[in-house]
Amino acid sequence: MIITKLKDIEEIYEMIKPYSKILVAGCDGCCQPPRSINEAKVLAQMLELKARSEGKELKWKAITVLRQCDDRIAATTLRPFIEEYDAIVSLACGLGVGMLNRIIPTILTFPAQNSMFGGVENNGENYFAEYCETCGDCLLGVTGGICPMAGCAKNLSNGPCGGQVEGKCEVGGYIHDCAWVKMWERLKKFNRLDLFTIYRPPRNYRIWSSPRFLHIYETSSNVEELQKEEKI
Amino acid sequence: MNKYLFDLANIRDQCSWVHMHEPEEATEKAKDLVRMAIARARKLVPLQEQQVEVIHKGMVIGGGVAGMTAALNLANQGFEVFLIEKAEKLGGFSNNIYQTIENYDVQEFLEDLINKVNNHKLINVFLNARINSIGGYVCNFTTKITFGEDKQKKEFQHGIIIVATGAHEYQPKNGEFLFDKDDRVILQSELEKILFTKEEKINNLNSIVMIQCVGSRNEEHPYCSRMCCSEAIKNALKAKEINPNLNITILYRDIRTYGFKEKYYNLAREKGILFLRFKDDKPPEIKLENGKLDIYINKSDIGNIKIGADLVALSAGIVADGEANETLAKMLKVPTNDDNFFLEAHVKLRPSDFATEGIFLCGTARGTATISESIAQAMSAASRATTILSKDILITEGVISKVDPALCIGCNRCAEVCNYGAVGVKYEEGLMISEVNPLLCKGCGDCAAECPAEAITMSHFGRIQIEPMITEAAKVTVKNGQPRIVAFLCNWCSYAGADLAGVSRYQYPPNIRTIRVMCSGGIPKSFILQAFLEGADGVFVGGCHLGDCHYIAGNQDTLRRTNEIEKIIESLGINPDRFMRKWVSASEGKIFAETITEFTKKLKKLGPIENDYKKKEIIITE
Repeated sequence: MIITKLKDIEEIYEMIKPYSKILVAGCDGCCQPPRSINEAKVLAQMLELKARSEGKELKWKAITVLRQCDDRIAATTLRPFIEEYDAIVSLACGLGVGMLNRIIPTILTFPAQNSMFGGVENNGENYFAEYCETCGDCLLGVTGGICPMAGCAKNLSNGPCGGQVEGKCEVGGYIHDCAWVKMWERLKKFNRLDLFTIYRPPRNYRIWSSPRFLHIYETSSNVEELQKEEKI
Repeated sequence: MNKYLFDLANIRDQCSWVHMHEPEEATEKAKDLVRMAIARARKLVPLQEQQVEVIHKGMVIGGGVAGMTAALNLANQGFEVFLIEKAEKLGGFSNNIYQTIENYDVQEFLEDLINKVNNHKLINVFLNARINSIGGYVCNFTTKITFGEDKQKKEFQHGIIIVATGAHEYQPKNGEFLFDKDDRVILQSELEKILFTKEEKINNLNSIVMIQCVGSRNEEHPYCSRMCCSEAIKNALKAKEINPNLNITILYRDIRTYGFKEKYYNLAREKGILFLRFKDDKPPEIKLENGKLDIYINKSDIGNIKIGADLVALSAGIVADGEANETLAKMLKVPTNDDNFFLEAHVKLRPSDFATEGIFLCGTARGTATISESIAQAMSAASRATTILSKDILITEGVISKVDPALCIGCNRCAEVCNYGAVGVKYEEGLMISEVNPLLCKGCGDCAAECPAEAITMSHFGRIQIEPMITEAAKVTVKNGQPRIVAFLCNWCSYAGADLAGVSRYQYPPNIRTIRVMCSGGIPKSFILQAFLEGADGVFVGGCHLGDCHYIAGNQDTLRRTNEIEKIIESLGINPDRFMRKWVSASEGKIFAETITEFTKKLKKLGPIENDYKKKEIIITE
């Protein structure tokens, strides 16, 4: 899930200030906490009240999209409405905002949220935790499923530093668990400490640099391209 | 005609009776209330009540005194009972008790009870049993168990469940009072066994010291186990009877021989049993010196006291089996409290019921209890259970939540707010959408207010009915200078409180338009924002007092949402004083009238909501 946080209402209002008719689009996809039609409606109501307190009138419609990051779904859901509105406020993560801007070229889409991280929710516990950095070179297979990139404050991928005390990380004042201690304990439990002794070559940070593209199918033309790249 | 097509405009209790001195405004208000009722009535839909056949069988979990009494009670009324016991024999913790403080023979009673249970045609006893799964709901549960030494499997259906899992004696840990290290330090239950089976051992002793509150009333177990004091006095009296020359000292914090047990405390003092008090922060210490047990106790007035003991009896408290209770609680979807005991629906009003329909509890599963209390609770649980079992069909509520599966996004927020386990995503069935169980749903609407996808509709009081009411309520005509207030009142407390204000003729200003909802927890944020958007000058939300919610804890969610609303409207530039939340109970008519009067006064000072919308001056700089 992409963990998101609502922006301050002032900030959202500043973005849509020049427009008088807005479409507020929720997202039913992986965006957490869930930002569906109810949240869209509440945000729209808040924006209308904010506009009034600034002495303006605002017309709105609240809708929700199954997944804003899917171009076909987003386009079919939104296109029937866009002609009547001046701008879109998206309650999805950054992917949704980017996608709506791409598929709807006539009007601008503004983000209502800050995308925080790729994380998970522990049901019943009142927080989301970061689990993946989408680094492009997954190490979870040799670390017992604990990500050193998301879990380690120093992004160390070849072993711990010396800054942990009783399993707590020195960064941030010994509050967070040290990912490397957790890894060691977990692998010990499964008697797989041999994974620690495997030689790991230095990471390829080139694949972690934006912008990134990935071919879905290997067509004959891009196979050739790939071969060329390898030769270089 | 379907009864759910009826609506009522409350123009007597909440209008004419409370605005006696403002007839004109009261008439206007009555007209508005009628318009609001019409707006709602237009959107009402007929609702169907379902009928479900009741399976006339019960399951009792736990074969202690409470469980057996409940099972016997049900069976004697003609209902088949499945009695599940995890140990290899019935009796539970009572197997360790020989006599009550009133000198009743427990073992004889227990033997008699076990015989009655074993010989009853309608009671099926499963020993060495483990519950694998419990499915279904009130009227129609299906339980799978493994029982017997050869691990046979059995599946049966039943209409109700009584939880009587019991508890056990606290076992002192980490060398507490040398419990693991010296044979002469024993628990009260072990002393009782010696007293009633090996009397001769007592004759050789000179001194017994009993220590109270072991594992009770501390940080780990903050509650009082209530029976250890009586148990200690019972054992002390018995020991004194066997060997009158014995010195017995009871070290205590507070003696709690409640009720008529107090007379045994007096009797113990008459018999020469010594009571010495120690302070909470200075527990007695046991030291082993030259093979002798010495107990040191610090008395601030007379200094340290050393008592030699041949035997030390620790009065250990009663603790719940945390892990087992947790597992069972998850299966039944019922709550446990901080001390791992099961939590009843309401300690005074529904002490034998769980919030979830069709599941009851008794005995030490609920908290510490003596044998006689356990029996009384078992009878109570059994008679509560028969209110369901004696019916042929159960009629479900008409006013319940409904899920539109096409809109559900499977976030399971509904299950987090539901206090009855009535709604939630059916993960087991592979369907990742939420479903409402009409037998368990009580119709508070909390899930509908929480649902981010608006997939859940609360019937009868849903968005479709309430939103037009808000529109009508907010555009009312009030006399100049009077603020327009839209009030959301919960059916059970605040609305009843407003009615009481009417009956008692407590007068309040006639500028309030009330909207009834079943629970204040069923008010989504959008209702309040809509009221402001439609032109209300103030919004009032009334609910039951915290802890007294008709739907257990619906108003906790009200509290959370209204706290958010206060922050939101402040960030929008609207004065947060325009919103008010107040807990008003059904008996607080006067408080309701006073609250509305005060709120109106406050809003008058603030003026119409347009004051907050003032156009900001635009400064043009060159």
